Amino acid sequence: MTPSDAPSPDDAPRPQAALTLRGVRKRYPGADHDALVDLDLEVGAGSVTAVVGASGCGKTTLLRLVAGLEIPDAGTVRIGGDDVAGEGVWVQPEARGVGMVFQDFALFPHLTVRENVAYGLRGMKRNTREARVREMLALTGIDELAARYPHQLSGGQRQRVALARALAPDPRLLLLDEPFSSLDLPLKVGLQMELAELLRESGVPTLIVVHDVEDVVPLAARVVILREGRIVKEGSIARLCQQPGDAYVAGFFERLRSPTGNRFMTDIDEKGTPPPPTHPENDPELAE
Amino acid sequence: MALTRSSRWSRAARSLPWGWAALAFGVVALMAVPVVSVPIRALGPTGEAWQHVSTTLLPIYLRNTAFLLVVSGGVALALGAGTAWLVALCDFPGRKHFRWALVLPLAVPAWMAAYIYAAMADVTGPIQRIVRAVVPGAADSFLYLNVMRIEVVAVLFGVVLFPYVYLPTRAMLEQRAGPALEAARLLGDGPFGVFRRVALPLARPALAGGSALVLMEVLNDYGAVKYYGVSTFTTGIFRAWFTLGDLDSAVRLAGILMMVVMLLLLTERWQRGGARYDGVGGRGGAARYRLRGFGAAGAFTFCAIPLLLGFVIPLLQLLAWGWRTAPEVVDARFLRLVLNSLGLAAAAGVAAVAVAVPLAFATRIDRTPLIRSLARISLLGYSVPGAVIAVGVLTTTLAVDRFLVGGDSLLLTGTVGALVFAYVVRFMAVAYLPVEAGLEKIGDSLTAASRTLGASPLRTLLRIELPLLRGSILAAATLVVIDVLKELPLTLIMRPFNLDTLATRSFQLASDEQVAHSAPAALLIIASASIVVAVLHRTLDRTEPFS
Repeated sequence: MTPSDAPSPDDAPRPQAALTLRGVRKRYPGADHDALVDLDLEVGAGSVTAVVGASGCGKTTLLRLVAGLEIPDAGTVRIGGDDVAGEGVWVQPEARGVGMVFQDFALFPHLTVRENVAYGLRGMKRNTREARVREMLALTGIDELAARYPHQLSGGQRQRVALARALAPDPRLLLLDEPFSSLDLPLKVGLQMELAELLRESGVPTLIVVHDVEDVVPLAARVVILREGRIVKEGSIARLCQQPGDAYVAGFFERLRSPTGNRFMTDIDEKGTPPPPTHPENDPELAE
Repeated sequence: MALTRSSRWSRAARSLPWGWAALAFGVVALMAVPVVSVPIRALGPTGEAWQHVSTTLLPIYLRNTAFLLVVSGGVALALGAGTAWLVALCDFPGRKHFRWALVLPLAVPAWMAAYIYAAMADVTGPIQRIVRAVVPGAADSFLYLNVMRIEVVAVLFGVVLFPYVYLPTRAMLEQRAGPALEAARLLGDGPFGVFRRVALPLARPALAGGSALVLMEVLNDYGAVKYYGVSTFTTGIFRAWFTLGDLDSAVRLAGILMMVVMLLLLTERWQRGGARYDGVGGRGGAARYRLRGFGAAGAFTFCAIPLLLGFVIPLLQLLAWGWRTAPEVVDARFLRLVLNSLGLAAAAGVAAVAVAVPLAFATRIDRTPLIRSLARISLLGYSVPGAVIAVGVLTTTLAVDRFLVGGDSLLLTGTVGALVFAYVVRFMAVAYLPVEAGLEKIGDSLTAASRTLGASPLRTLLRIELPLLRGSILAAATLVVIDVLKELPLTLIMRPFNLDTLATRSFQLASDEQVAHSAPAALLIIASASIVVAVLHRTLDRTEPFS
């Protein structure tokens, strides 16, 4: 092998992205502007990417396009190497292998927690299905709640059920839509830590949309800032915090940059690696 | 001290002044007497005629009524749930038009659809004329199409009443089930699975509520079953009263019919009570299935058939008849019919609102369970078939007449006043509910502001609340007017001699084999009802479905 034949670092096969969007555009009927404008986005295998933006910037539209609940006007969507939307291609939501946790959790109110989690497990032998449900309930710490109905659960418990249900069919990609918006602060922080650990354990590539960057500090390696349907900045939280570039982006990190800001930031290193999970009960700030 | 004053104020604000209380109790008593008197009187001693009715006729009434309830309910459920699913969750050509048009069959009274179809299938009707024109060699032959069957009338009920199921189910799927349905899709379920495993269970309260309305309308019907010769409780009440001259048997049949209605209402309440779906499944609509090719054609056909059968075909047939007979029918006598109908309907509308408004205010001022329960009792009439109300009002007015003028003459019975009173008892809920909703929309703060500025409840009512309620009151009165225009059994029993309305005249002409001559009156009823149905649909679109 001559030196010229040796593979250079650039030639090394890159791991296949879990999600790739190219030139995606979407405008709702009757709207006077695009909800998403020529959007390019990639979520790496096993990674967690957060999309942050103000209300109406197109975050939820982006998730719904990936899930197949909306059809893009232009561009392509590729999940795990398969084209699911694009020129002449359209894969129905039920065939995309995507798990989604909705903003209000969307639990089936007429089914128990166990039945909710088992809902997406079809074509399995009964024993296998039940074992998988038990595994998911244990993973999300809700074994005790298996026989309850959604209206008998607290907000935090509902979120765990929604997560267990989305993870149970072993999705190729997990989508989280404002998963903490309906929770109060102590509960929110506790669940952020647990979710971070759970996503690391499961290794499922995840795209999460939030309006408050603080919600994803312990979760996301990479943050994408969305404004009026366009990506205006992306990078690690630490880098964007230090070099926001403009006032719009800086606005999202204002609280993190203040001396009394987010308690996670002191632990974040330059590469943007999130801190190890800490339970809120051990956190003196929250214990107050 | 401040605390004492404050608690005294809140007590004073919430308790009902004695004048209001007396008015509320009076209204409730007036509304409840005809309804409550029926089951009480039905428990009285039985005569010989009842022996005959109970052994020979009652089993037939029960069997036919049960058959009608099961088949009509089934057809209405299948059409209502199916069309609601397609319109709310699928994209296909014509969906937007079907969305509002599928409500229109409500404008066609079931008795009218019944005689239109019977006439259409007749030897001289358009169906046989088309067959004779199209089929070679059939020009001189006559088909014997026996449509005067209980199966046909049961399906007809389903076809004209299915919007009662369609409307709340569609609203439920559009407004409150979206995220749960989308979650089911993302978990890999196909359209049939999502419909069966998620949409149907979520829509259960709406399906139960809508079906209960359908079944109550079926129980209330007199015209369709009478025309088709099907013996049910309502025709039985008429027969016992007018043919056998036996008021006791009529009352007893009305009592049994009321028991069936109460059973229905309890079942519906139980169905709704079991569901605690509020706010759990999420809010908003779901992404629609895009239907193409056969799927789109199938969806179009499924929505088009009930619309054609329940509205378009009856309307076109009436227009054809009306065009031919209007010059003959529309004369001074017809104008008198219109004036009679409008006069009665307007009087009932004004009276119902005049009773509903003070009652709604009473429940607003005093929010104790007692007053609320009393208000609900006065709304019972809407669930009770018109024939039963008629029996209740007549027995009541006869008793009052006996008390006031002895047994020799009648003061109230058989008067326009008694008929209007019966309408008010029957349609009280139609007047009360929009007023109550209007009051809820106004909220408490304006009333509180007026009271803190020293205004009495009456002054607050006249200066603040009534002017703000104008729209709701007008809507309530209009709804009552339309219901009275369409009403048949109660009017047939209660009307004074020689007083005809558009509905009674149209039905009478149809019964006398002069169907084409009944068209102008029928068209006027459908036109006025269509306007209200359309307005109601727009209003419902802006509000939440019941759940």
